[in-house]
Amino acid sequence: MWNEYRKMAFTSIRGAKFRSALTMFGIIIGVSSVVTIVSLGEGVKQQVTTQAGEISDSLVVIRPGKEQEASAFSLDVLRTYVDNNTGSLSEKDWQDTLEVDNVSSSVPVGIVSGIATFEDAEYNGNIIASTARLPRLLNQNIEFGEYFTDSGSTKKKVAVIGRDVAEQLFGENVPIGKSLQIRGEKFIVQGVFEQQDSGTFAAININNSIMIPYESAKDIGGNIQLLQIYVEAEDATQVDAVSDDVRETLIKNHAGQEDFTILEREEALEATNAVFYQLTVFTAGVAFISFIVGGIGIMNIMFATVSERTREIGIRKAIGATNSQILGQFVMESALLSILGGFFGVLLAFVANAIIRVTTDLQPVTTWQVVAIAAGLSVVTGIVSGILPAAKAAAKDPIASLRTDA
Amino acid sequence: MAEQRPIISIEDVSKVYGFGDATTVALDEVSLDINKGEFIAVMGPSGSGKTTLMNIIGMLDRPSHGIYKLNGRDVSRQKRNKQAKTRRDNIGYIFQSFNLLPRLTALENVALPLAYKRVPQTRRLKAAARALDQVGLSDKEYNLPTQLSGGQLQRVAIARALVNGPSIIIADEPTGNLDSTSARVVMELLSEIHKLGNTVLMVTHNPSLTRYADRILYMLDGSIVYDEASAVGEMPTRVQRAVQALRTSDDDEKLASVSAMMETMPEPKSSDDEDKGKKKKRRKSARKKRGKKAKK
Ligand SMILES: Nc1ncnc2c1ncn2[C@@H]1O[C@H](COP(=O)(O)OP(=O)(O)OP(=O)(O)O)[C@@H](O)[C@H]1O
Ligand SMILES: [Mg+2]
Repeated sequence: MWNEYRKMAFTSIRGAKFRSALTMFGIIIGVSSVVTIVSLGEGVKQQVTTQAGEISDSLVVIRPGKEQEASAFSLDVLRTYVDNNTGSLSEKDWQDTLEVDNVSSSVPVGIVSGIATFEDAEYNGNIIASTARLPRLLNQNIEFGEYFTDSGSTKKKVAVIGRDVAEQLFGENVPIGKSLQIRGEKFIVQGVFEQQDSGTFAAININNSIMIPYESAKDIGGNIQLLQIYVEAEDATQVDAVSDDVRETLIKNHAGQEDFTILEREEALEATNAVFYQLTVFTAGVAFISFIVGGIGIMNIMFATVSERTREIGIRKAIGATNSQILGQFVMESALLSILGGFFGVLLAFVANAIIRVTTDLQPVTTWQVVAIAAGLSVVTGIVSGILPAAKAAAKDPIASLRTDA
Repeated sequence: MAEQRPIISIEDVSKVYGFGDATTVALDEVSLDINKGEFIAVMGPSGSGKTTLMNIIGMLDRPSHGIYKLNGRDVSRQKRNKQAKTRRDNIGYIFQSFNLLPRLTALENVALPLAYKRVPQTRRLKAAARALDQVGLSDKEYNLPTQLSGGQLQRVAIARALVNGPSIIIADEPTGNLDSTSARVVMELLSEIHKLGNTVLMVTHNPSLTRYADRILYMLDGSIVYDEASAVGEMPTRVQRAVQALRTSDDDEKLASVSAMMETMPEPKSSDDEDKGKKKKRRKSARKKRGKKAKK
C-alpha cells in the first residue's frame, strides 16, 4: 500500500509544482545550511588534524624536553628540539619502551650528524636513523624501489631518500643503485619516497631527508640525537595505559626527572575538539531551528491542502478508502515533500561547497554521515508535521466532504 | 420473495441532524427490505430524505437510530475502517456530479477502488480497462475528466462503480446533470447492470425513468409513503397519471396541504388528487433547486 501512497503523493505534488517547491523551501534552506556548515567544520578539522602530524589513535609520541603545552599543531618541532637541545632521549629509552606492556612497536627517529655527498656534490638535508616501521606509521609511500626491512638489512648500508635529495644530489628522479657517502661510508640508494605535500612527519620534510637503518647509523659513529620516539599500542583503547607506563619507565631512566614530553592523539586534539564541540552545538542549534521552521511550513501547507482537497477525500472515501488509507496517503505526501526538500537541500549544499572551494582557501568536506543525518531528519520532520493534517483528512465525514465545492 | 433473505434490511432507521430547536428529522423510523436483483427507483420531493437514505444504505453515513443489516449482518455499528471495507466490497456509488478525481485519467479513476483493495497495478489496470469497455469508453482510457463530456464522465463513474464487482449499485440522481440523450445511455447501462443480477437503487426526479425499475419508492418528510412493484419497461399507473397531471396542470398548491394529503393517504389505490399534489410539490422543489444551482 505504501507504494500506492507514494504514487498518489507524487501525482499531487506534481499537480502543484510551485506550491510544493514553496513548501519544501524551509527544508531546503535548513538542510543546505546545516550540511554546508558541517562540511566546512569537517574540512577545517581535517586540515588541522593533518597538520597535527597524522598521529594515529594508537600512537604515543615522546619528545625530548618538557614542553609547556602539548603543541602537536606546532610545525616547529624541529626548532623546538634545536632550541632546548637537551638531548634527553637515549637509545636505552627507546629499547625500554619496547618492554612496556601492550606495546606493539616502538620506532626511533634520530638525527645523524653529517653531510651526504655524491661525487662532488654535497647535500645539506636531514639524515635520519630509524627502523623499518616508520613509513607505515607516517602513511608515507615509497614511489620507487623499497624501504629497508628490519631483518637482515638492519646493518646494511642502504638509504631511502626524498624527492628533493634525488633531484638535487643525484640530478635524476630514480637514482636507485647509486651510492651516497655519509661520514666516509657508502650507502646504496634503494628507494625514493613519494613527494610529500605538507609537513606531515612532525616538522621534518621528507622530501629533503635521507633515511638509513638505525643500526647502520650507529656503525658509522657520530652522534644520533633522538628527535622523537613513536610508541604504538596494540590497540587504541590501551593508549592511555601505555602512555602512563612509558612515562613511568622513562622517569626511572632519567633519575626521577620528567624532562621529556608524551603526546597522545587525544591530548593533541583536545583543543581542536573543544572548538569543534562548540561548532557542533551551534550547527545542531541551526539544524533544530531550521527543521522546526521547515516542519511548521510543511504542516501549514498540508493543512491547507487537506482543506482544499476535502472533496477529493470524500470521493476517495466513497469508493472505499479507509480512514487509515487516507491518513497514510497524506502522511506519505508530507514525508515525500520533506524528503525531496532534503534532497534538494543536499544538492544546494554541494553547490555551495563547490563555490566555497573555488573562491576561498577552505576545503569543505561532506561526509556521508551528515548527509544521512540530514536525510533522516527530513523524513522525521515530514512524518511528524504530516500527522496532524493527515489525521484531520482521515477524520473527515465523507458526505460533508462530497458536498463541498473544493 | 418472502422466503428469500433480503440483501438489504433496515429496521426503524432514523437520521436526525442538529440539536434542540434546529433539529431536522431527515429519516423518520424507516423500515425497508430489499431483495437481491431488485431495481428500485426512489422518488420524492426535495428534502424528503432520499439522499440520506441512500447514504445510510451506502454506508457513507450512520443511522441515528435503528438497525441496518447488509446480507443479514448488522453493519451499522461496525468500526469505521471496517465499514469502509464493507462499502468497498459491496457497494458501487454513482453520483449526480460524477465525482471523478480531476488529476487522474479515466482509466486511473476507474482503477482507484481496486488500489484501496490492494490489487496489484497491472491487474488493476486490466480490470479497469475491461470496465471501461463495458461502458463503451475503451477509446477514452487516457483522457482526463476535463477532456470528457458529461455523459462520458458518468459512464466512467459507472465503470468505477462496477470495477469492484459490487452486488449493490447506488445511483443518486445519476442523470440529474445530463441531457436526455446521455441520460438514456446511462439508464441503459444501469438497466444492463440490473439484468446481470445486481441490485440497483436509483434516486430520480424524472418519472419517466421509473420504467427501468421494478419497484418504486415514494418518500415524503423522511418516510417512505409508498412502495410499489412495477413491471420493468412500464410506468406505473400512478406515475403515468402524475406525468400527465404535470403536463396539464400548473397550479401552485401549498406544500403543507400536499404533505397532509400524503400522510393521510389510506391505500396505494387512492385518489388521483393526492398523486397530482405530490408531483406538483416535487416539481416545485425541483424548480427551487435549479434556481439554487443557477446562483452557484
Ligand atoms: N448535514 C446535514 N445537516 C443538517 N440537515 C441536513 C443535512 N443533510 C441533510 N439534511 C436535511 O435532511 C433532509 C433530507 O435531505 P436529503 O438530502 O436526504 O434530501 P433529498 O430527498 O435527497 O433531496 P433532493 O431531492 O433535493 O436531493 C433535508 O431537510 C435536509 O435539509
Ligand atoms: Mg438528494
